Amino acid sequence: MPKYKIKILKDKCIGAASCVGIAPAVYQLDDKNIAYVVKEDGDTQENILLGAQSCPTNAIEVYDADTNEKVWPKD
Amino acid sequence: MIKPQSFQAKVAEHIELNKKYHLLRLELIEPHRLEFQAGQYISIAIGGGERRAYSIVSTPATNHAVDLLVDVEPAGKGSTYMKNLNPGDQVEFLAPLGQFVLANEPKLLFVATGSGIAPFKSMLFDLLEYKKDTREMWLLWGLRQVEEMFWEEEWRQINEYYANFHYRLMISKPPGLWPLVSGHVDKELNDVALNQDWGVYLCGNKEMIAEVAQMVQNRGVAIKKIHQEKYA
Repeated sequence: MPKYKIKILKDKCIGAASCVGIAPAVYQLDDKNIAYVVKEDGDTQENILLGAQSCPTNAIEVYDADTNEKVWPKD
Repeated sequence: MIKPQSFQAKVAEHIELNKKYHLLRLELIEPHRLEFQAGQYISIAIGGGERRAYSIVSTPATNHAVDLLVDVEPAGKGSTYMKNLNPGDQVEFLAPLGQFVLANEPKLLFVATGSGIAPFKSMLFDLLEYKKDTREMWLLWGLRQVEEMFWEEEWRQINEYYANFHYRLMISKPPGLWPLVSGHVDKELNDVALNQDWGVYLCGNKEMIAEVAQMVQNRGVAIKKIHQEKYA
């Protein structure tokens, strides 16, 4: 079971692709240049989180899969 | 695209261009070289696990450091962190990031507002000074006030030296009797003979991007040749 659950806020995504650059097996862009999740456990937890943290618009939310607690972004 | 990695760097210079815009040079420590494409950005750690994105202003030829343009006026967490950096301070960033890079169109139009000029400085200086590119290129840059102006001399010099480069700076809120161009960047588009040969690169506020993207489409530029990077 993946450690993280990932939620993409599609209306915030600007297609900057920093997430794709850091964890391409987890994040990709669709034909409208909007990010989507390919595989929630496709990379290390560190890279999954870095991919989300590198997003310039905070369009990626990361949750602990067990507790459902939001890991990123910090409110 | 080159896989991004984490860099440690030291602030080598912090220049206050004016009250709104600062230029920071980060000298790389480890790794000590960065390969990137003009137009890409870095994601800098600002503490508390938070990061902010800044386009690289310097060209890929300067691979031992990156120059960043910072708008300090929002006074949010990111801009305050950057404003308070001093020479010698150490920072961590991820790079290179982003796909706002040049495609291969025969003619190039760049439209920026405010600090949206950052990736275009890297792209245009790389094209003109290092690649000796002879394609027709236009840069339209909008600022709000005269007090926000900077880099006038750099752009004036390359405008004078390279016949294929054309440059207009517009001030949207000029003082009375302002002798140069005033108004918004979209007005100046009429001087560019746009057609399907052009690639259009837009960087800045989302209103300008939406407006100019629609205008250039109406004048024959295909949507896939309109490249954009929105700044918050």
